[in-house]
Amino acid sequence: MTETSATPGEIRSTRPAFTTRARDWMRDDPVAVIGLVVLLVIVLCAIFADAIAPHDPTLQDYNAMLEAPSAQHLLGTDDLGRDVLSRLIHGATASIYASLLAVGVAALLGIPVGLIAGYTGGWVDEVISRILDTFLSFPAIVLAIAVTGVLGIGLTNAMLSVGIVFAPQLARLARARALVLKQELYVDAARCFGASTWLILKNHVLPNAIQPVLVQITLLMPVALLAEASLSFLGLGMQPPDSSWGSMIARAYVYAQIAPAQMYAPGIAILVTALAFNTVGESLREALDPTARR
Amino acid sequence: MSDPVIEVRDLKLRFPSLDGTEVVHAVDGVSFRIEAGETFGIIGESGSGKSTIGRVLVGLLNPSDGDIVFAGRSRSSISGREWRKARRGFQMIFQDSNAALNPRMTILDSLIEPMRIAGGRSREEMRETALAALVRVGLRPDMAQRYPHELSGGQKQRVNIARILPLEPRLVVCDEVVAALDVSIRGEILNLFRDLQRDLGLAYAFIAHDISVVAQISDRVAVTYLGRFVELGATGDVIERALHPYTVALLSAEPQPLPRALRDDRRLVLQGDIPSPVNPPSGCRFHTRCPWATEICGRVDPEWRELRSGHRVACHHATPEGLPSPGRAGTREMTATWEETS
Repeated sequence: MTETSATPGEIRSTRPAFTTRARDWMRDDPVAVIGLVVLLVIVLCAIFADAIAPHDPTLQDYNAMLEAPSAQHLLGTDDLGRDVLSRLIHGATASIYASLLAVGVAALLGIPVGLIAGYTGGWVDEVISRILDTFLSFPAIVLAIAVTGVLGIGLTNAMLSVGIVFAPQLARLARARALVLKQELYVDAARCFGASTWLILKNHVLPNAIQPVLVQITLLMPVALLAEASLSFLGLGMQPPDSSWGSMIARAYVYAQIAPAQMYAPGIAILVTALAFNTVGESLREALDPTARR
Repeated sequence: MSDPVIEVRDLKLRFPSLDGTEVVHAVDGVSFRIEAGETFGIIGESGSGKSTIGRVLVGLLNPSDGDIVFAGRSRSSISGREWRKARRGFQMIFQDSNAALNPRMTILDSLIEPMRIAGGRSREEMRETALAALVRVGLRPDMAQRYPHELSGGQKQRVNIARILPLEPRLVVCDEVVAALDVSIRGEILNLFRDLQRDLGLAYAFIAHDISVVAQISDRVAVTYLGRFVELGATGDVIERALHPYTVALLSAEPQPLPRALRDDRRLVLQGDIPSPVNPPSGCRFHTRCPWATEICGRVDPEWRELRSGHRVACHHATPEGLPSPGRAGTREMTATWEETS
């Protein structure tokens, strides 16, 4: 009983300082740090694409089509003689924007709907679940094409539709968690305190349901990248002459035998970004779980 | 006499069974009142409906039939927002002290939660009140910044008690609050409950399967069997002069020779299990296991009689002097046996 005399004033600031926690995190999870750095680099490329890119990404040079990597064009040129590295850097903007948009829409639609369905139960759950089942029974790409058809062609609309297609996955996960969590005693206790349904969802159900949802979101990011690629490949997403990683693969695929570098570059970019999202997501999940603290 | 804190009138609670084809009569016609500042003990084995009664008392379950009167007002006449405010006076402490705390909230946040919902206090006031409550239940204030998993079971149960104090509840339902705790900590927690009652005038509904725990703290005791009360009276009366055969069996199953009267060399051992509440026995629900049972027990539901002042029982054979010896009354084949204990 030596430390009995902690006065109320000291209680507030005993959480370790941000710098301390950051240092601990870097020591405990170096892979996630690499992932975060990679993501930062990609995001910086996306934001400052104009300044970083060595060439104009849409400038065509018919004397230098499908060139191999060289000092002038580090990653070669595409079938219209455009610099692949510049297109890749500019494509980062489109791809990051596209996947964030799609996953953001999916989360904003799916999580609340799922939580409400699971927590409320009864006929509300019944109706919402049937609607989700209907959405899930369509092949995602077909549904996305249909939604894009309604909203109109373009990258933003394409990714909105991908978001709508992803939403039921997150909704189902959130619903499953809410079903379990509404049985928790701390939810019963909150009801005894007179908490409204909204407060219980916000304070107890959402924070405890978010872990698997968050992991699913980080797994959806690369899928969104690929969906962007598919839709751009089909001509529903990014419109020429602007570039996105997906549309670059789609275009380079035709010339894979002659100029493989152009296909590897956006492919590797997608792979690396996807991996980075995963490691950061996993680390985030652990950080959010107080019982998993080492 | 002033209004009771809570009054339960002919409470019935039915659930659909798991496969949905049958109806479980979890509570089937229970009436009682709890006065301000008293401790009302509810004893019974698993499946007797005692926890269900507890959840109804704080409004976590709604009765299928009957009415609950909270501080003079019928539950059915209070609705929505008003109910959320009124129910703050009726709080519950659960058996699983860990599950009652959100694992993602610090102890301080958990302590502040009920006050934030109630409103009317500044952040600073809430924090001060929370820390004061923590000290009141015997914890150090620096526990406030910890997470539930960093505390022991007994400490968590203290936190659960501390959280409801700022709400100034009139009734606290304690559902098996010490069953999961070490014996050494049990006594401390029971003493804490007693101190709080003395200082704050709380009424308790103390639910337990362990008769010695209930006997220690309760003013009155109700014995439940298959969703009904079989006996209700002052703790001393029920324990020293039990009127119902089931109470006799419960008391004789108690390993400690707690009440002197029970230091008997014989033990009443019931045969079989508690029958299913889906299809309760006809007549007296206990007749299938009762050594006193006669023909009338299977046919007629016994009346809820007040045989002695404030001491009620539902048994055909009970008399104000107690139960006759079972051999004389029992004409059926024995469903329970007296075993010699050494």
